[in-house]
Amino acid sequence: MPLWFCDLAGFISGRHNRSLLKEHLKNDSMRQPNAADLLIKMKSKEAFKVTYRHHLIKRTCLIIMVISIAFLFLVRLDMPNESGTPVSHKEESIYPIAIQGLRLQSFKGSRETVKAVAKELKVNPRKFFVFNIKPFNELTINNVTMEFYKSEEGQSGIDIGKTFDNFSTQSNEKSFSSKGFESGALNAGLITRGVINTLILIIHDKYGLSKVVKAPKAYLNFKKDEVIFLDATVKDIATKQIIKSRKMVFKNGGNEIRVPGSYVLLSSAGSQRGKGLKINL
Amino acid sequence: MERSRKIFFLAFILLGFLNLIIGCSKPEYEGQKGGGGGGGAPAATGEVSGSVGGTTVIAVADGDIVASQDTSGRIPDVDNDGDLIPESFSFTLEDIPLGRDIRIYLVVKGEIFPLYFDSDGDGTPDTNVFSLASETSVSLGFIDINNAGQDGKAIPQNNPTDNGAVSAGAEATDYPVILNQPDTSGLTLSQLLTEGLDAVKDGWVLRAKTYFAAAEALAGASVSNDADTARFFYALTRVAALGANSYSDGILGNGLNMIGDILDAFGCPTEDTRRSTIDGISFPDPLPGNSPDAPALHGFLYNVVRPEIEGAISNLGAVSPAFYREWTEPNDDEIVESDYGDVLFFKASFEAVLAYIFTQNAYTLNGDIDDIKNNAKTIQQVLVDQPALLTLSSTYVGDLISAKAAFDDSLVDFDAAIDWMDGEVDFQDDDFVNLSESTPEEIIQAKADIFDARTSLYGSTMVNDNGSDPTEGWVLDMSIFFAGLDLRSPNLIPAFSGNDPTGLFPDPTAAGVFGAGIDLNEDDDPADGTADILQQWLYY
Repeated sequence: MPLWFCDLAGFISGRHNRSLLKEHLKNDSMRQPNAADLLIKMKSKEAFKVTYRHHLIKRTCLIIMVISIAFLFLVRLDMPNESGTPVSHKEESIYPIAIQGLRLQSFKGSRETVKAVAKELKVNPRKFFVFNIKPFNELTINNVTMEFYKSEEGQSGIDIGKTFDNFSTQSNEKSFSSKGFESGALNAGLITRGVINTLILIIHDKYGLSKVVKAPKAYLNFKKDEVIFLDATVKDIATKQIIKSRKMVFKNGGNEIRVPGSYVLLSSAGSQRGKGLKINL
Repeated sequence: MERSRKIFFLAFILLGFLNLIIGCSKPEYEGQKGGGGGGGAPAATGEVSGSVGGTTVIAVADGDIVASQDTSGRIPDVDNDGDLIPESFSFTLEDIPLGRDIRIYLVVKGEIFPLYFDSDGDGTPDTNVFSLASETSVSLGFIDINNAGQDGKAIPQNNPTDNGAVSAGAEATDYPVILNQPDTSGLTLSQLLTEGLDAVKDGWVLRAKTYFAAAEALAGASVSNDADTARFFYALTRVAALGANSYSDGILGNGLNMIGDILDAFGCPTEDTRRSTIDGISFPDPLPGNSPDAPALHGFLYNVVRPEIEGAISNLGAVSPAFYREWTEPNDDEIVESDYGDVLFFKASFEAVLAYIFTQNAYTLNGDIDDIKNNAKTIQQVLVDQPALLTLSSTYVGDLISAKAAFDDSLVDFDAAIDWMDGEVDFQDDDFVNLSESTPEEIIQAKADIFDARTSLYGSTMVNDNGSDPTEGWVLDMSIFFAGLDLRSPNLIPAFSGNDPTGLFPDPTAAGVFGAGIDLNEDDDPADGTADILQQWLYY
């Protein structure tokens, strides 16, 4: 199959995305850290470096596991597995990272650029069918609201991934579960993906509130540096139009959401269907 | 299409696995130190020191390992970023011989980074060889493996030639054989396992495989936990090594016998130093016009990967239920346990991979890879260009019989793995593979699904009716698929627009594979002329 090769090439050439991710790690200018933050920052950076360094390995492992049990998935026909929040029947937390009640504000000079809150951020084991394999984890973030204030020049892109990076580095020691804390080094294992349960993205432009994006589920694709919104809606405040789609894709650092498949446009004139769309934020 | 891509990946999966299991070293190379010799006064030597982010540092002189230091298990003791929090590890390599070509390597989670420095003052690291003229202490400062534009290289904060006793040598892009193929002669089974597990700890697959292969051979048919340990880790590392052996053999056109040959054939730089790390590997753009085509890669999968998978399954099949071993997995440097549940899990996984290899071999998988890559051809174009793509191959009857048997074996072993893990009474969160995130209800459901899947291999089966809502059941008959199902004649593939499927399935039953209770062409959400299930599969 010819596409094998496309994947083979991407498989290897895609490694260059690491440099992009490394940039993420280096750019922590969104806030002024305090001493406690620095400890977390250092450890989290190391964890993320490991994560990114082995992203291909992770992806490959993921694929092999998916292949191994794809037949079982076929029986259940419940693709994709969106059980982002696993149920644990253990009393002791096994999460290497677990942070509750996150808030983040970012400024450019005196101007606020990003404001974000999340109910919870944690790194939890990722299940393959019913199995957990020790180093494979996923990042889960629950109930996230992000507000981006675009500059008048409108030049700077929106970077959801970077905001999450800052989320992961901002907490304090007490937020970490005993395991991660006692280890002395924050080992987050191989984070194969990010799962967001309930994401609200609010965009302000120079005229005020501009657009609101809502998705009950979203995935962070670390390799592609993308956010995938599922069953999402985008509301344009000025026109009062709403676009709904099963899947929307946002490239971090960009200013548009891409709808690769079908969508429904709701407006005062009724509804209209279409395929393929780019929405400027 | 998607399935074929995934199947191809299995070879490289292994690559993933590979590194999953990957690991490496320890201060154990004393027995391998070369040079030296002779009696009398000890020869004058120098030392090299610095700090690293967590790794094994190895010094090689003319093909011999002369010094090494492993930072695993230590607490960071060097603060390089000035935040008063140590994040790096100091190291000192002693007894570095004088007057010999010295190369230093950092082994980090399975990747080998050669230390490079700038020998001519132009600001670009250009060599990895130096020598000491006299007794001295060379301070390298922090050695960074993440360097923009210098992927695959470890670059020190301080240039070693800043020390007047150090002179640069000509770059050596080959890797000393002893790194990946250490001498195992004379080692006992216990020693081989210790060395192998040390290599696993650093993700050093090829080195680990060398030790475990020797251990498995030495164990023979003996019955002991050490023998089982040898079999278990040889199985895992031999599969992992399929993807890890990315080095060039320096011979073009001698067939695709390892990943390194594939990289050679695609025109990738052949120097070892460009092959030992993921970032160091690069493909030319455009690809050479004589790059391997899809059948050639398929042949690699069938002729090279499959035998190793079968060998690994055989190794795992010889492990006794009493097997138990603690080891350090490389990603978190965390001690984990492996037992018979892991054996069953990996055996099932490898059997599933084997089933996919056989399944793939049952189909014609043509494709001019460089044409597709260089011209950015889409699935839509490929399906037009290759009318025989996904038709049954000449060997499909035997392949599908083998595939079906392997799938059945896999399902049996997955079921057994669940039973084994579910029956364990000790603390499970430190087990390498475990069920600790699954509820009893999920485990019951999984076993029911496995039963349904097995049954469907042999005939029409109502599946997915054993959950909370029995009305969700539908009929699946995989026996039709394994009897031979041509996907192009009659056509069973939906239309593609570019790389996205559009429209409906020509036959929503796939010649009877899918029966009552499921409609592949359901088109309600949204009702847009494209089967909903195709759009669901677009999900990440």
